[in-house]
Amino acid sequence: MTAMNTATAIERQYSLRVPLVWRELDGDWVVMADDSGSLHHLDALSAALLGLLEAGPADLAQLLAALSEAREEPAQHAWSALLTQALQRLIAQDLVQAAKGAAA
Amino acid sequence: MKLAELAPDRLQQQLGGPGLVLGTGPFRFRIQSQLAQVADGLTTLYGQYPVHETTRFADYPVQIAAGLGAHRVWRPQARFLFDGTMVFEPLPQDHAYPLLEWAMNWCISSHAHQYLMLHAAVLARGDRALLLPAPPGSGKSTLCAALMNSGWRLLSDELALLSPVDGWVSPLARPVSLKNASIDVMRRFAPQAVLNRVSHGTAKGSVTHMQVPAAQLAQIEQRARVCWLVFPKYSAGAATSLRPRSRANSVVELARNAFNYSLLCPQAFERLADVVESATCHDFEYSDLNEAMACFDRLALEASA
Repeated sequence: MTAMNTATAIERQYSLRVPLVWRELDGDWVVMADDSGSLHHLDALSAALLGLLEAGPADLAQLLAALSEAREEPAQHAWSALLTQALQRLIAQDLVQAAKGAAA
Repeated sequence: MKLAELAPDRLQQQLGGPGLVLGTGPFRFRIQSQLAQVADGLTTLYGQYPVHETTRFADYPVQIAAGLGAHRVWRPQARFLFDGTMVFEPLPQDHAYPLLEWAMNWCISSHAHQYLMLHAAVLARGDRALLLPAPPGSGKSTLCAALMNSGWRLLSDELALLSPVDGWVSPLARPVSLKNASIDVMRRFAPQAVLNRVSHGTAKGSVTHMQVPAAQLAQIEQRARVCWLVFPKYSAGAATSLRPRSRANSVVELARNAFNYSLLCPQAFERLADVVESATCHDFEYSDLNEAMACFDRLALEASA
């Protein structure tokens, strides 16, 4: 990822596109998009991100901070790229939407 | 009254007139046809199913009629009409019987939305059901036919009817569809089984149907709850293997195999997740039917221990 892309991602506000219905099965998560009924088997990071976004829109920095707090460890450099990739996947799955937010 | 108790001339009279009202599981079909293949197939396969007075209500009016125009004479055809409307393209008249079975499947999968319907075979031991969802070509029907002849009770070979309220499966118990190589495989595996005549050259190749044993039809009212969810795959020469699979992924796959998942959401999601949560989930690969039967026997034995 280039510096410009990272900067663009940081400015974005992410939010859930639709309410989700959740189900945990053996420690794995499946969510259903409430409008279309589409089902998604989530990895742990995607499930955590969707869980955070259920509380309200957030930008990448806020999500990084929340994850760091949840994991009780400092955010690592690689997390930013991983989160951005996970958010892109969730956008492609039509579960999350991104809007340009106010620059920090 | 059972169809076998109906004299051949009365059967012909009903099929050619007001319609034969045939019960199978929770549904009644009003079948009208003057084609001999239809009467013969019904006689061979549905002798132990209930028939009702012709004046009684039927869920689905199905007519398998002869072709029109020149096709009355040359290249005779069979047409499926649902409530008087032609649904599929006409087929060669030699395919009239499989056309009736496909028409019956279509009636249910297109209309019976009081059920959550999955493209899956279902069999049971007592009230414990084995659900086998799989795409065509996976060996599901062969496996289903073999299990039906090995101590498992057939609920359905193609259409699993789940209650959207409690997830229990209602038996449909219609004849098992067999095609191509599986026809001879099953003739060898279960020589006592009754098969209809084979229709060659259909869109699915050579097809026939296998009669459901009468003892199993006697339990047609008995629902079952899903205890085992198994995704089968036939691979020539493969060793028999039964491997655990992710429950979360199984929910997603089941939804893909459902005819009316979207229509019944969000209840369908909850119910599928409930079904998966209370079942063991496996991938199953096989090439040897006897080994496959032993594997499923072990599953049943473990559950009852």
